[in-house]
Amino acid sequence: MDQQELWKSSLGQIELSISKANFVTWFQNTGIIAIEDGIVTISVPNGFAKEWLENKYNHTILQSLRSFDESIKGMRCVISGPVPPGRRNLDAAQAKQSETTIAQVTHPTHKSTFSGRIDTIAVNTPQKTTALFHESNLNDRYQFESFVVAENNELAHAACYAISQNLARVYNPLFIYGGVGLGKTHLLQALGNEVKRRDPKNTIKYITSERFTSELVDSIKNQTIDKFKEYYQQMDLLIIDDIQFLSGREKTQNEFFHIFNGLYQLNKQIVISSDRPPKSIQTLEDRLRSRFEGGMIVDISQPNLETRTAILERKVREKGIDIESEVIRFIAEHITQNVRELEGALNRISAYADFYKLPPDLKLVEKALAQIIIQGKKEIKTEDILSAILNKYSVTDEDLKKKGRKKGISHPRQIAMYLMRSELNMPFSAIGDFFGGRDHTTALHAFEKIGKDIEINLRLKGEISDLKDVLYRQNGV
Amino acid sequence: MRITCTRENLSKAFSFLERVTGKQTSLPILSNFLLQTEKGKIKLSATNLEIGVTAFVNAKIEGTGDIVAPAKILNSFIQNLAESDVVALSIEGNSIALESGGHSMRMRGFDVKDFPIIPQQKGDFLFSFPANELKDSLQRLLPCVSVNESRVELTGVNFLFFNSEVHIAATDSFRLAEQILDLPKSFRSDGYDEFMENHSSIILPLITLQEIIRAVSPETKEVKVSFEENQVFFEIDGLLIVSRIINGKYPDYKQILPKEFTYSAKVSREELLRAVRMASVFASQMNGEMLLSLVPEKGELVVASRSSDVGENKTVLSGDITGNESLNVLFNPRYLLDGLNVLDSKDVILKMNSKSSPAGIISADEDGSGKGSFIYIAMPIRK
Repeated sequence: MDQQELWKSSLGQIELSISKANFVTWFQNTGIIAIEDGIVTISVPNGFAKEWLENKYNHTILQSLRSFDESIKGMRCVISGPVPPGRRNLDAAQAKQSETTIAQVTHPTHKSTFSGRIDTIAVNTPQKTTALFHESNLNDRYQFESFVVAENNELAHAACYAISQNLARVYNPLFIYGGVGLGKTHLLQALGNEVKRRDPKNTIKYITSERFTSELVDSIKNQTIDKFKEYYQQMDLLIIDDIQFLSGREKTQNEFFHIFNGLYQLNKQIVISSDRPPKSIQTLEDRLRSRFEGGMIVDISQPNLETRTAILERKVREKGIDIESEVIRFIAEHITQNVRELEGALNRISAYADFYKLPPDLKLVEKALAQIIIQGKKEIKTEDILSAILNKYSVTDEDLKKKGRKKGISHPRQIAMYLMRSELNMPFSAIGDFFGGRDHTTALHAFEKIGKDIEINLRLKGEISDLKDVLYRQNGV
Repeated sequence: MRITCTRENLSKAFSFLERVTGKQTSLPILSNFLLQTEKGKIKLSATNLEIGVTAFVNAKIEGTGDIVAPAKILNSFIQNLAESDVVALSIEGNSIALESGGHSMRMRGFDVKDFPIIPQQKGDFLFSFPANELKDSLQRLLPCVSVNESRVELTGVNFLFFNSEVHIAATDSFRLAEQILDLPKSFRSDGYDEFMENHSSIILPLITLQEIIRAVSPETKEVKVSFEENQVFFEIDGLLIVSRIINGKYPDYKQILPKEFTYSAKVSREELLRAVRMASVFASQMNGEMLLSLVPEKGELVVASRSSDVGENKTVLSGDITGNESLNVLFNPRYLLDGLNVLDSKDVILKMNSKSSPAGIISADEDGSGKGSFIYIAMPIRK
């Protein structure tokens, strides 16, 4: 058994006999550096650990060491500093390489540092070449050419395109948000692919926040956190998808914050996506939030009918399915929420057509999509809207129907009116009647006011989309 | 056991020590003070496992005892007492009681055995810094310390030891500041020379030095220092501080300090500071830069900035400018501001060689010629 194994096995025993907090505090970054004449020398990161191990845990340690090696008679500790001893044994070549990466990182495009001179060792080592082989996680399938640009996403598209042509000089960081299946990932990947196409030497990383977290956890476990940071700090373009999953993970947020800052200072491009704006991501640390908000924020909203038709037409062409435009219209009209569903519907139809050996005409399509469409298109009633509003704003039915323009009441009332019009297409006069016999112009005013405010008030937009979520989910199941 | 002492003595020690208590929840014992009696004094200890501090408080002591008790509560109680009060403190078994004037408190403590052992210095002190000169120097240097953890050696301050001088420097690789402190013979011990030969360069963590600054009062004479086993020990007015040393090799910054400068501009610090501050308003946020021009024939120093979305501004200052022809250099205004802010002289001298080489800022006070012990170096932005 060599020294490292001996220490590992002993730690395994010690861990069982003391509390986890104590174990982590006192045994982190320790290791055996020598065994001479039965005396084991243990390296510890600081003076406190040395005192504690020598005075409090000496018996525990000795006992467990002796259970593996009878010849051990004693132990002592030396303070080694923060580098875990395992890493010191790296061969010189590797050590040198890590030194050069550090120098690379601190040598930003903005050339006003000393590093060029201070790190004289660090000249033109093949750092960039090795980086070529790193995994960018990009999928060639996603290109700008295959992205259908429309009103709902033109700003996001323009921003991504501008960045791809002008890395880190236009919008940094770029924050894209929008619901599921609206093309965020497509845009991000297309951006990465385009940057790579323009200059293959650029180091690009596309990663979901979920993967990022698990990599971080791994690196903490394996004590390679420095390498982890170093790796991310050398990116020219870092794309993080679905950042909302970082919410509530403080440690990850913390590390991400440092990486973010590091890259930002070096003037490297950062692009982030999420399903909602930074303001509405709960338990996101303020300093991260403010950093996101400091760049460019664009949203992708739901596609309108024309866009959905255009997307379908393109997909049909790509897949080479023979399908009538009437059918395409039908699908586009019935599947409204999400682009991914559109693609799913199309796949379903072509599978159906293949299976039954029938042409994909309207009849077949209706049958094929019956289930999906019914799910998405469940009828909602005025009562549903009313109860959703009552729930969300804690007001009573009577409040809403009573006369009175108190702000706490009139706001939910207006939203209810808006939803009844936009979702149920109720006549304004009927809406007015519903709320205690109000005039139809009142309902019209509410509809127009909310409709206008949504455009400028992000919070209101969030409220409405929350309400819609509630409405359709309730009915969908 | 009973202890009687003045509120003032306790208050000073408590409020200093509370800052170094540990905040992490994994080891709650760190949020406590360790109170012991030793040689007729109260010995107070606190640590966050990065640094450890021990203070001694003069008191009248009857009996012996020790306890570990919550730092925040003890400190709050003491801080809220009236100025002149005398405090009676007693420890009985597992509980501690305080009494002063009409106020009294009692609470349960923890077992002394659970408190971390603060490393003790074994040898003698190697040398002392003149306290307030060290404090002033550190205050000038700390703004330059890097906060980026990716280069751990830059997150501390570098000390280079020479025969009768210590060169202290900090850099985040965009700018650098160096202070040379004299170390007269009377401040060095016999062991200093031997130490100097083996350990000429040492990096100390930022937070440790911040505590040193806090511990030095205007009356403090010296800061005693000793290095043992990758740790540093300080003694300041009876207060003992122990901390780790940063492992790593500090960049050889001496080689980038220019030996001589071809341009020199002596201007009023206040005016230059104002000009650069103004320029920083107009410099664009993203890659904030300002243009600094020296015009020797007119004796003018011009600071100008421009941003496409805000506008532009310009300040013309007059001063003693020497050099061949006009020189235009781009700077990040923030880095100049940090340098100008830490100097306290009426005039400063700006020294440059070319538009791409490091520029120096020094105080014009020290001996009129501008040759001083503090230099601030900023890198220009190269286009």
